[in-house]
Amino acid sequence: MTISIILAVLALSVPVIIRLAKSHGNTPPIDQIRSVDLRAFRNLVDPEEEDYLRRHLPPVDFRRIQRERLRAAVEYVRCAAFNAAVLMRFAEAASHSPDPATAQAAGKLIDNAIRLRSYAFQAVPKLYLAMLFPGRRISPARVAESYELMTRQVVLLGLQYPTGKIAGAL
Amino acid sequence: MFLAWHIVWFTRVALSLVLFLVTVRCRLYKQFPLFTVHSAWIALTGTAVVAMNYARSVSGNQFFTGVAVCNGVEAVLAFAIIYQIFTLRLHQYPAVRDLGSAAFRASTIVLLAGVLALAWLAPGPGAKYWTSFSAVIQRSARTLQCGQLVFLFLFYSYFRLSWRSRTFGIALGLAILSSSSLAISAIQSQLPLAVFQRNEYTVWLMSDSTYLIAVLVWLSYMLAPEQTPQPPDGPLPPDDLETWNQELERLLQP
Repeated sequence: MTISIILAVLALSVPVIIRLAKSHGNTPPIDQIRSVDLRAFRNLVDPEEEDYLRRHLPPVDFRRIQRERLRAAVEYVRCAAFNAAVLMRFAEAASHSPDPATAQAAGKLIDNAIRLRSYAFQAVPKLYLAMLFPGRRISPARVAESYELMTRQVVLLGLQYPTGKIAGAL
Repeated sequence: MFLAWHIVWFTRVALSLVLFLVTVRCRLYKQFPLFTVHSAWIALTGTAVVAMNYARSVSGNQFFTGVAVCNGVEAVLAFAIIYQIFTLRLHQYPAVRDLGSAAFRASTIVLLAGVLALAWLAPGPGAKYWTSFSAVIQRSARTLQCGQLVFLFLFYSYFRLSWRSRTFGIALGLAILSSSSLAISAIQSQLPLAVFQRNEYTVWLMSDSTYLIAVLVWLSYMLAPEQTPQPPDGPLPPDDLETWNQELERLLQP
């Protein structure tokens, strides 16, 4: 009886989930791109910085500060992933451009935006895991590299189709 | 209730035929071959089941077998459509192709394990072996389809992969069909035989109504023109270009 009720409720929630997923997939306007400080992010996940803090702080303080640093790093990754989503929709539109250079630049931007979201998907749980064990080594450097590459491609794309505030925010 | 159910049933079958004709007329079989086969199947088998219902020579067992075969093939085609929707779109995004394929496989395995556990824990409600077996198979297939569709939509949503409007319509129609069928069969399985017999037409009315909604969703998306995103307008105003150059300079700072 219970299984059937659960099954019926789950089944009836499928169209709702799909509706929510579809509306969640609607990208916000381009001017909602958030500012992401890449250097600050690198500092937050820098192993040398972590070693330095470990050496110079009492263990309790180190763990507390390291957790705060990692929480901040998660926010940076989320912001970068959000920006990638916004840029991706913009690039998808630009990929239909009759200009081959624009279409190619847009293609690369899409590729990197997806890669970044893929890395973010993997990096966020890893960062949360590191928050549980503050001494554990983490390496979300690929997220940073990918984000850097993506911003360069936005620049290339923007040289042909400027989008106002994107580059400033990135 | 009997009359309402029959009206909905016949309308659903008639619209299934219209859907198949639309896919052929608009040459959508080139773009969606499996969906065309699916719409042909539901149109033809829908008509055949109506004919069987009124044929005096068809026994109850033959009718049951016919419906079971129709549903079985329809379920297989639906799985093929879901897989095709996923893989075809994924091929356009090489960066996420491997991850997507692996995630799809993993989610299918997890869902299969769940479906097998469900079949073990809650066997079919039918009075006879074959009706019970058929109910379990249908419930398992619909659960698997619902799970795969939810995964598909969540994956697209996370990676912000754009939906072509018709592809979305096909997936949405399948989701309505699978989820309502699953919910109705789950509710039906809990009704005592006497209660089910009293409300039989209500159950069939619900089932055919949701099927009709799915067919209407497919029809509306197939008849609507495909939307393609418009590329940003050029050329660039000089002041924008200058602003962009300043941003570029700032970004390229080490």
